[in-house]
Amino acid sequence: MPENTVQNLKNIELPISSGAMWMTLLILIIVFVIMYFVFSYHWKSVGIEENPKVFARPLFWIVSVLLIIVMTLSVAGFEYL
Amino acid sequence: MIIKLDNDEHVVFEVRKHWFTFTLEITLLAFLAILPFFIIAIIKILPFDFSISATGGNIFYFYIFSYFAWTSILWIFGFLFWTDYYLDTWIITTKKLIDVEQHGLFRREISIIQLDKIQDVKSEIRGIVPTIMNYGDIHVQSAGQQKEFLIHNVPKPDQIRQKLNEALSKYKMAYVIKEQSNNFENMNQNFSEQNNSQANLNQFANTNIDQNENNNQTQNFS
Repeated sequence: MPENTVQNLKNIELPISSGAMWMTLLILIIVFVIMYFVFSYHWKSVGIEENPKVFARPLFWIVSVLLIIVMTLSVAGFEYL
Repeated sequence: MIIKLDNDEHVVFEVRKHWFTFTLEITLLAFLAILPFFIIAIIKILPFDFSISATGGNIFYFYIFSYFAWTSILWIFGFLFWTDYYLDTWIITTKKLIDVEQHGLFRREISIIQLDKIQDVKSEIRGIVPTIMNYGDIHVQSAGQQKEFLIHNVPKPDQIRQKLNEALSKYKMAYVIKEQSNNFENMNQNFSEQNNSQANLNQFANTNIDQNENNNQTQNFS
């Protein structure tokens, strides 16, 4: 009789290291910075009247920084708590 | 700024797609943002009793990190959609219609048509949702070989068609007045040139008469 695979699912241990999480966070920060410059270029270069960067730029930065802070704290929590 | 206007030109109005089309994209992102909670809820409902742990640390923080990493990606996509929505626009100036079509971040088409080339403007609302939300398409037919200008999902298409027609009328009126004043100036110039030439002829004639009289006097004297 083959073993019941559901019974084997009692405890799944994922091979996660804090180093991989730090690396993921770093990649995300780089992506945020690149995307910020790409968006800024577009908002600045096209359009005539309304200027979206007035609210778009701070909104993008504030939320992005908050997300990065939460991710940093969670990686720190994963590693040290 | 990519689009430059002439000194005597100004923007009459700008048209963007209806906010409802952008809201659909944002709703999709919002759904994707709460999707992990649904997945967790479904796993909890399943009749399996198992736990997940991480080798390197506390799995709870890994969940938080994963969720916010996922949210970060969605956040960037949200801005991508918004930028696409914002940059996809029609700009109607006192002289021309500029169609900026943005496809993603790295492809943009800008078409310009002079207002005097526009032959026909047509608005179209098709479907239940567009009728309720009052959005639709506007077609601008131009003279010659140029393509048809088409913008999808604009709010209040009938009003925009009307405004566009008003801008066209104003442009044509200004064009006619300018043409007439040019013609008037040309007529004035021609008239003054004719006057000058007439005066020259008169002067020439007078000079000849004087000379003839002098000659006659000289002959009589001799």
